[in-house]
Amino acid sequence: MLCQNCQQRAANVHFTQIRNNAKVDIYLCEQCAKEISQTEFVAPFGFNDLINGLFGTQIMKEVAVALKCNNCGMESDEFLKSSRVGCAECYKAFGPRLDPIIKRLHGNAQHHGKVPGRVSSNINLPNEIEKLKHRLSESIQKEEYEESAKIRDRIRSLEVGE
Amino acid sequence: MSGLLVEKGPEYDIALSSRIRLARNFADIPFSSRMSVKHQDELIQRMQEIIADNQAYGKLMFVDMTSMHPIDKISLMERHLISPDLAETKENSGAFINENENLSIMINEEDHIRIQAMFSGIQLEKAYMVCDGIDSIISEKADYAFDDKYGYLTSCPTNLGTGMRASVMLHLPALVMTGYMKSILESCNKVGVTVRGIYGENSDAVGDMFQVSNQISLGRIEEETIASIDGICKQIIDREKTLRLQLYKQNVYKFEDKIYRSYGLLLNARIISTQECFKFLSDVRLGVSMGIIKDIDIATLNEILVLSQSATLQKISGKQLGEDERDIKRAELIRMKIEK
Repeated sequence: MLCQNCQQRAANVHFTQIRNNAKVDIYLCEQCAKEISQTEFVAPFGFNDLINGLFGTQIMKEVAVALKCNNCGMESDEFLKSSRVGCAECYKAFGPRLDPIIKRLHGNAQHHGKVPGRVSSNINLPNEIEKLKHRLSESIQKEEYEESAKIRDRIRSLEVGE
Repeated sequence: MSGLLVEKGPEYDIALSSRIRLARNFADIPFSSRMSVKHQDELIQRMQEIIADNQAYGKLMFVDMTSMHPIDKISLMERHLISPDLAETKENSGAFINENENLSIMINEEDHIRIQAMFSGIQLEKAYMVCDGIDSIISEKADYAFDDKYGYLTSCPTNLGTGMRASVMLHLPALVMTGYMKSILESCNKVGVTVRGIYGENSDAVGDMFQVSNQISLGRIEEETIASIDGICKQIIDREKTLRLQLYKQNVYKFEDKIYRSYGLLLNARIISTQECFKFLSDVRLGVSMGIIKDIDIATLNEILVLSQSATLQKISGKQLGEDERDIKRAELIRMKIEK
């Protein structure tokens, strides 16, 4: 089993907590367990997923300065409790605090994939090329050479355009 | 009736359904935790206008959670058309659902909208195509909350990026019986894939059913995520099939006895609880899938699986039933469906 905090190392420390009359099991690696216990583990785990815990640990480490989103009024404390942001602007307002957490959750913090129609077409380009490359490797695997050639030409023309 | 139950997609006996869900929010309205009633109404209105203009995906009916009876809501949840969260909300939310019951757009759930498509068997690509099409139509009409770095912005940071969850529901009795399921759970975890019970987050695995889905939505293109879930599911299915044969060969009588006992109970019991029903259905499904039981088909089992759940059972009975009454009604319904 992986550590519930870092999701990278194997979990070898097991905590059991009673929360709202329910038993909650927490599995951590030695390193994370140490870090969390040093920052006075107040156990925000188990209720609202793990981000709650992730965000909490982070805040405790940095001796939190409360952040506030000017657009919707959401404060970092409130986010901490619910693990839900209040609006699109919150991601900017909590940016520096949130970014490392997002990285830990997803393993990276750069979107690749679909871009909505009503966004400038330049942003679309790298994603489009990546999608085509994926399709190219698929069509090569399926030995559809004519299709592969078409996709390859399309990638080239997009890259030149870039 | 749901098209999903009778459709026969690839590997439909083991893979009950493939589902894609896209989480989307609009840039100009606060997210769910900060929405006023006015915002919620505005959003419903906006979506009604967008959907009414577009019939490309068939007729979509709006079901309003505000006025809906709790039994009807739970029944929608049992049919996977709305999420448990939406079924619990009281007002100012709802869902657009198509006639075939394989497409739904939830409004005012954790995110402004959640587009969901389901097909029988391993058909994630097809489900994505449907969601993608609707998503593109909506994005032409209004600006989504989107960021170059984080992709589609969602209420909860776990859904950032593509906002996509790709999940396949698998029936894995042999992996459970042999205890291999545990190691599958662990290895899936290592590659960013979650395995859960049939109603998603925090639900238990009942009837040997598991939902396999991606954990990570940021940093990977949709096609790549779909290909990886697809590949993992196919591997799990292969493993399941091999184990089924091994178990069967190990002790034919014991194997067939287990299946026929459950079949007998399903056919003859006069009182059946939900838990028992899940268990018997799992055994019988295994028997049908392996060609041991021939006089019943997977579609009938799918139908029983859905109709015999508590709220749906009460819905078709047309009245509220106590637990004991439900168990009797369930047994009746099962006999009627099998004998038909």
